[in-house]
Amino acid sequence: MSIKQLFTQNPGEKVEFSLRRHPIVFLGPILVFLVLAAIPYGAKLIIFGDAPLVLSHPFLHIGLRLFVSIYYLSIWIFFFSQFTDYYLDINIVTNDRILDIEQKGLFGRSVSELDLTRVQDVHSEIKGIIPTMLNYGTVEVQTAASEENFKFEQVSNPHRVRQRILELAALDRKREAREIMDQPKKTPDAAAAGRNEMKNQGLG
Amino acid sequence: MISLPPIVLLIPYALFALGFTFFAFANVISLGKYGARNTIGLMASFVFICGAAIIVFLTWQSVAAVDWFTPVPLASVPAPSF
Repeated sequence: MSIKQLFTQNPGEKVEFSLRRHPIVFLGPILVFLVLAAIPYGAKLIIFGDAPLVLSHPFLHIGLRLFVSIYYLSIWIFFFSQFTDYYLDINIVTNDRILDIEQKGLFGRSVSELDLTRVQDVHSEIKGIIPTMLNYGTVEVQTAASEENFKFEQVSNPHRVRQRILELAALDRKREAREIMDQPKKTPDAAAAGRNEMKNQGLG
Repeated sequence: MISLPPIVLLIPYALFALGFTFFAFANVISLGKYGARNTIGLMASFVFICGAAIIVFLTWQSVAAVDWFTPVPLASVPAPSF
């Protein structure tokens, strides 16, 4: 499935770029998973040492094995949910608008969009040693005070993204201004149509 | 003395397995439905299913020798003294 299938494109709208969080961000859940996966081994080593895992009561023995299985399945699905959450968050920038698609847990999804003409300012920030080395950070798109700002977190090349959004916003404003300028040409036709209508109604 | 067959331990395990299957399906469907019907999405789903299958297989191997139906005494209950 391509990005274009994630939203309905307006006529003449073109996807300029899409943004996901930097892959390094996913290292956190990987490390958590590895630590959680090592806990039963650590516990076995501490409690039983090198001796085989045999408990005195058969119920305890079987129960412990089933419990360990449940534990591993739980952390495995937790890890996969983290991946789904990471992978399904996406920001799409077209030549007309910005879309922020966010996966909220397993059963929640929010989609917000902002017309590029309403972009007032764009702020990009790289903070910390690792983000500076790997060139990722936050891009905040500021709109009118009454509206919520758009924030793209942990995206690659934030300064370049800011520059590109500003360029696209300027282009979109120019395009919109051109459309407004073209409108008066249509006005005489509209006025003639109005006069005809008044004549038809016997008012002219 | 109370005795129970070890198969009773499989009841909570089966309940957990049901929940796990539900969440696993929800995850895979979310990935497919919301834009990850591509190599990465398919690969992630494949790895997840393989991982889950390996865990279940190892569990089954570790409890393969268990006689699930023979009742096992839980603990000796002392006879009431009068």
